[in-house]
Amino acid sequence: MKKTGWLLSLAMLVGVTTACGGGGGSNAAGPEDKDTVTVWTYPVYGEYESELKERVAKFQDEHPNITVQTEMLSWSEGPQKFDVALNAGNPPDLYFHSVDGTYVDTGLALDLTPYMTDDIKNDYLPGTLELAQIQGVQYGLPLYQFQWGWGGNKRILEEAGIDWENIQSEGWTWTEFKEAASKLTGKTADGSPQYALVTDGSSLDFIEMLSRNNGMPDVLDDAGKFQWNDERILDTLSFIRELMDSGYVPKETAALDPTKRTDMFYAGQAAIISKAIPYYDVMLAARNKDIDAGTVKGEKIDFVYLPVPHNDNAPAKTTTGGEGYVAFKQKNDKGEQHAENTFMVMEYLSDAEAGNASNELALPFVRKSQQEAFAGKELGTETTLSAAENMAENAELPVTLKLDAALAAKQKQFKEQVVKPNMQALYSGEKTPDQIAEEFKSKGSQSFGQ
Amino acid sequence: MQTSVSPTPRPRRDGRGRFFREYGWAYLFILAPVLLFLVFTLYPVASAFVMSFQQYKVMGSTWIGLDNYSRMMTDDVFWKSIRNTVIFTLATVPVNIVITFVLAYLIFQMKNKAQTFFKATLYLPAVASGVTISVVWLAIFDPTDSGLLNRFLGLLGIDPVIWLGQSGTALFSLILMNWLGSHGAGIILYLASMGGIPKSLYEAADIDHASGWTKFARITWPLLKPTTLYLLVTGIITSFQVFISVYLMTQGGPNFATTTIAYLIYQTAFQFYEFGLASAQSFVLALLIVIVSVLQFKAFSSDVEY
Repeated sequence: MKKTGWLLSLAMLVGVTTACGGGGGSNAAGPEDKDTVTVWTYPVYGEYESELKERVAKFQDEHPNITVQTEMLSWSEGPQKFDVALNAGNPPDLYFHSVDGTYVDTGLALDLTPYMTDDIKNDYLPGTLELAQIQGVQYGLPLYQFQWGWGGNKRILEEAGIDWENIQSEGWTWTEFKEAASKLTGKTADGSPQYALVTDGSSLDFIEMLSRNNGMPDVLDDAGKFQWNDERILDTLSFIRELMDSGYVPKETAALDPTKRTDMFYAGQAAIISKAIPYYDVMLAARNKDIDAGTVKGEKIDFVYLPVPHNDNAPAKTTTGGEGYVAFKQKNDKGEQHAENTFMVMEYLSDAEAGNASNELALPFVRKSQQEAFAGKELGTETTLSAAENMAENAELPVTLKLDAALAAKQKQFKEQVVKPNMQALYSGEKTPDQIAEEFKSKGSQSFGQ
Repeated sequence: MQTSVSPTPRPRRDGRGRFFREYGWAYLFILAPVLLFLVFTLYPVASAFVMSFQQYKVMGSTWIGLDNYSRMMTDDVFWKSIRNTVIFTLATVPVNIVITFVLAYLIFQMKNKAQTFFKATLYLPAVASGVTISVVWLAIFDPTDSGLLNRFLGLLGIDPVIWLGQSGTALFSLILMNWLGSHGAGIILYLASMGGIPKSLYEAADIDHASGWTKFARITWPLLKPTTLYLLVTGIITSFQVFISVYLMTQGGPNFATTTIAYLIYQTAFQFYEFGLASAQSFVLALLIVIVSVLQFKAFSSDVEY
């Protein structure tokens, strides 16, 4: 042994070490060459993981040269894992998310234009493909079109004499909401406070939805013009402050998180919550069944999907967006054939059968073939589906789809570093709406040069 | 007549061969950890240092000199995060050492079985995940009347407090959580050190009719100084890097009241994708830790005997 022995050991050690750095990917040169496509996704709805496994197995049977490696991420940890992989230059080929300018800015988002056949394009319903485009370039295929509204407790609304069906069809103004809120605020049967509206203090959804309903699509508009620097944002902030001062919204809002918001809704302490999707209909129906079966304790709740009220002199808008698979290449590009294979997997995972995502989430379909495949099988109550359809007519698409990546990134930073802390200060009463509006104006001027 | 026999010089190659024959295996074994250190510690640190002078992009970074450092120095949030981190450290480390010491001193007086019970009980939080502990504390700090801490205050006739939702109480809430958190490791270290103090010293003190306080001040405390110094240095390093509780409980809010430097680094890197700026912030944090650690050793190590 001696000399040769330890040299051999050294070679093995180096071999093992370098093997760790190997990509493990594959370079498919021709359509029949072996290739591996990686997919990172989330439990989009209850049965998604098992359905995805079945679909992937079927795809692999049809395309024996392509292996699809799927990884189910958790909603809490997944985004961070993806961000690290993306910024290390090694993202998965497909990732479930909305298309984001920061992804495009890395240079690794795959432009799908060459693969979009007329058949595919024509299958998408009007306005839906745009949900996965940045400045007109297709980077993903939407699986569903989400929309955010408010969620109401039918019992509380009806006890207060609120005509929720009329609100669903006609919408409501801030003045009308305040009138309703005065009737919805009080005490529950056990003496706990009951609020007209409960929101959380940790996210920006509330201010974003309200400002959208006061004529501002976002901090910036589609053309990149700064919006939150005039009376409209001051009005919106003042409206929120007024709701808190009147006791319609809890004074503890700054410290409430989305989980607590839901808990309060379940406990009957919230007549309305400030963020809901039509899927709550399905979710609450399942919870009601569990209550009947004795596996869950609490009051059964019938869900009412409501539009967000709009300022009296501004049009109603519904916050809308798309989520689905976004395609990526890696820093060490695996070649054109791999990109084609990636698109093939992507299209398969977004086809007619994949429309079950929209169906399960009680959301409008994005493809004609999906509408046909699930006709008559819709989940969710008729009233909720009808309300969602009404609200889709006022859809406001994310401005980030139109902005260039650098401006979209600036807007994101402005929201995190200026809007979020100021909203927390508004909720905790540490700043007045005037002070905040003034700060938005001055910091916005610094950030956007406007 | 004496004949001096000078040793024949060994050929150089043979010497090297013998060296490898005798020590080769030893170097091979230490090669593994050295390689791991180079690949997983030194290389990332060096890369991050280079990155701090760049605008990082996956497909090709741009050299921007000291721009990241100058941006950081003019950023209000960065200074707030430094301020919060220093307050958190000053408020937690000394108090934690006192709590740890007192608990260890009380446990040391107990019999073996009781000692084992308390050691195990107090060490338990050290093996629980930070996430679990934070979730429990979120329930304790629940801002509504039904929150655990607010219920307790209610019994005393005090109005509910929005613990994590107000600038005035949010950082204090995290400090309180830290005070009542894990002291297990420190207690075990103190107990081991206390057990190592020769009994003869206390016997001699008894003969001289020394009071309990004198025995503590002249024997126990001086001989525990190395442990205290160790806990002080590691405590300050850990406090400067406080992240999990901020991330899970306040996300730096409200209004940056709990944004610490470690959280700011995370936010800069993973929310804004500004890895160059985040690297610059990381090196300032590392520099701060080094300066504080050196100062501590300078200040306290002269009268510490190991």
